[in-house]
Amino acid sequence: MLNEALSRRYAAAVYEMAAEQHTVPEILEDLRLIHATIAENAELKSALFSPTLGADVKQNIAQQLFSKHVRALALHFYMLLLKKDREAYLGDIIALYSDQYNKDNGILEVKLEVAAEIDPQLEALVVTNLTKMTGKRIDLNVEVHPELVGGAVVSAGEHYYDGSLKNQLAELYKQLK
Amino acid sequence: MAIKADEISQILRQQIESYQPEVHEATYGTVIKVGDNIATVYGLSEAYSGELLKFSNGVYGMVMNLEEDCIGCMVMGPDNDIREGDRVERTNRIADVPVGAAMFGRVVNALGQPIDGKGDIVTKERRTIEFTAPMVMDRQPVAQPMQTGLKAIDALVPIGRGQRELIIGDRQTGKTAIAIDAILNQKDTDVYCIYVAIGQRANAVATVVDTLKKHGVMDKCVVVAANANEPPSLLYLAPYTGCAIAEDLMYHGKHVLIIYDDLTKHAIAYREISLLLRRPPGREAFPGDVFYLHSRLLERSAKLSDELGGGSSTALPIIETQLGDVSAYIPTNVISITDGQIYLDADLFRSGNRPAVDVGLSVSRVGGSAQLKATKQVAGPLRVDLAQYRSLAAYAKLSADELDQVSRDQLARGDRITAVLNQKQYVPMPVEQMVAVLFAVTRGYMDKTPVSQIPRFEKEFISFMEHENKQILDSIKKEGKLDDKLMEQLGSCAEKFSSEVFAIEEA
Repeated sequence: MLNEALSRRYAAAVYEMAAEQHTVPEILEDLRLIHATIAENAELKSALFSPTLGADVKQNIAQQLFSKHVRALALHFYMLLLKKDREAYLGDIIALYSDQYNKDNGILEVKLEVAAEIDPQLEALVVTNLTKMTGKRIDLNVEVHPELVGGAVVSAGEHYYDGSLKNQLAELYKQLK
Repeated sequence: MAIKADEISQILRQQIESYQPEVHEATYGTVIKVGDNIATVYGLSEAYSGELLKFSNGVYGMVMNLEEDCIGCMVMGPDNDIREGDRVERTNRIADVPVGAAMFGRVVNALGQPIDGKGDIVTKERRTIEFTAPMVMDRQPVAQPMQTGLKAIDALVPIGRGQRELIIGDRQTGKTAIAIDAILNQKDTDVYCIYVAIGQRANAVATVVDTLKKHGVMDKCVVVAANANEPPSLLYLAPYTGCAIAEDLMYHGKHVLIIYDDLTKHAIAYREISLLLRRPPGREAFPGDVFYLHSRLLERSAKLSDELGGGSSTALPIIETQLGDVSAYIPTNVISITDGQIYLDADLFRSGNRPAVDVGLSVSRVGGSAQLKATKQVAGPLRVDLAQYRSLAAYAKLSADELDQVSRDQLARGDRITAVLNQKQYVPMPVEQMVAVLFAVTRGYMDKTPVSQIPRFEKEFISFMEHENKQILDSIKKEGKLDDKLMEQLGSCAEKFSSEVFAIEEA
């Protein structure tokens, strides 16, 4: 996070407006589209992030590029970011926006790190158990990290449960030392 | 005896077999930046102020600042292998240190870990380093004397158990010496001692420990040392650690004497931390809460009520002044928190008055009621005599020849009192001897002795009393006060000694 306090304020503003128009998930999608387009296109990125180009030039580019693909609110918001020289904060703003969306809809983003690919049945079992534990809808992202050796690490926000073999071996090593 | 390799592998096998895999559960944040023993941590939105955090290299930190999107954390140990992006875990506890009987005779660091090479401290008792000071109703007035064994202090600025008496003076004026003498004097009492060294040279601390050992008091002492080379976080914690150890004894109904040597360096360490945490600087660049820093520490020293066991914790904080400037920020703060101060004067020290207590500027706000009755009886005229002497001495410098007999007598008396109040280091005086000597000087039995002979008079008078009039000293010790009969006996002894014994020797 570059500056969370700043990003949070932008995120809260656009979230509130989206909520008024009942388009919260749609605006999230639109913002993600803008972010992804810029991230994938190096030339576009260098233009929009360039300190030599004025805000009006950048706004023109954005207008031509995104006006047909995203909703007015998302475009206007991005225009504002360009005007205020805050284009670099878009990623953070999207993350905070989606946090708020998840919070309001009882969704919990959970990261499951495992050593090898797991079968969908096991994944479903993890989701069921986590749902039971937290009482929230689980949005599970599975990542494979062979260095964990075995077991799994579950993390959600700032909390994590480390049941990996890597950690257990480290603990054992500490005990034997 | 060699241990068989088989045996070792057997034990290791057992350990591995009996190992219980556990899921490690934690809440973590991420290090954004680290330097100068201060880390900024992103996340940990639920951490509370003062909580211990654990860095991935095993070093602990303490939460100091809670900000909107990050935490300012003081690292309590080496920070050179903490990296940006490292995980920092919550521990859900605040800092605590081992306390209790296992600590006696030990030298520990600010985290309560032994640094004297005598092995681990085996104890289960722990106490949080921060604790609320006793409430008003939990206390009782200071009424029991805490003898320091120094004539100048016990007679003129008496200290009571549970009192906070500041020792203040320039560098090299004997501040630590007074504190150490006070500890040595507790050898045969029921008072335990804690010496907290803050930001001192390791060499100086070693000397103190050596002195305590040599005089046989180390067994009832704990030395908490945060030396000059240690990070400011440890210097900041050391007094609270010492206080926790003292407090544990106090709440168990025991009596404790705790020395903070010195709080100036403590304040400087805290200033360093505060500035690095970007807290706004105030006067002399100290942060706004530097008063609270010391008040919350010193308020924890108290005489507890009888319901709470009647224990006490007497604090002797030390403050170093610059060129005798007691109106600087930290000295004025601590003067206002404590129940009096012993002011040590550099000029007095240089002119050979040791301890260099400036009687005019030193006060004890509560010690009077704690002073032993006998000391009070003999020391009563002392303050008046000295005050008159000082005003007269200033005047006499201008025109000594024109003084009348009364003034000259007063000057002579003052010279002798000043000589009697001098005392060598590491020889605390038992209270009964002190009473006898002070009696002799205030009643004029030393008036005929030349000032240069006063130390010899004092020494031989004590020896005379010890050998030939032991019962008088014993009854002073037992009674704690001088009744008419005792006063008369003491008078005749002093008379006999000054006119017969000492005079004959002189001839």
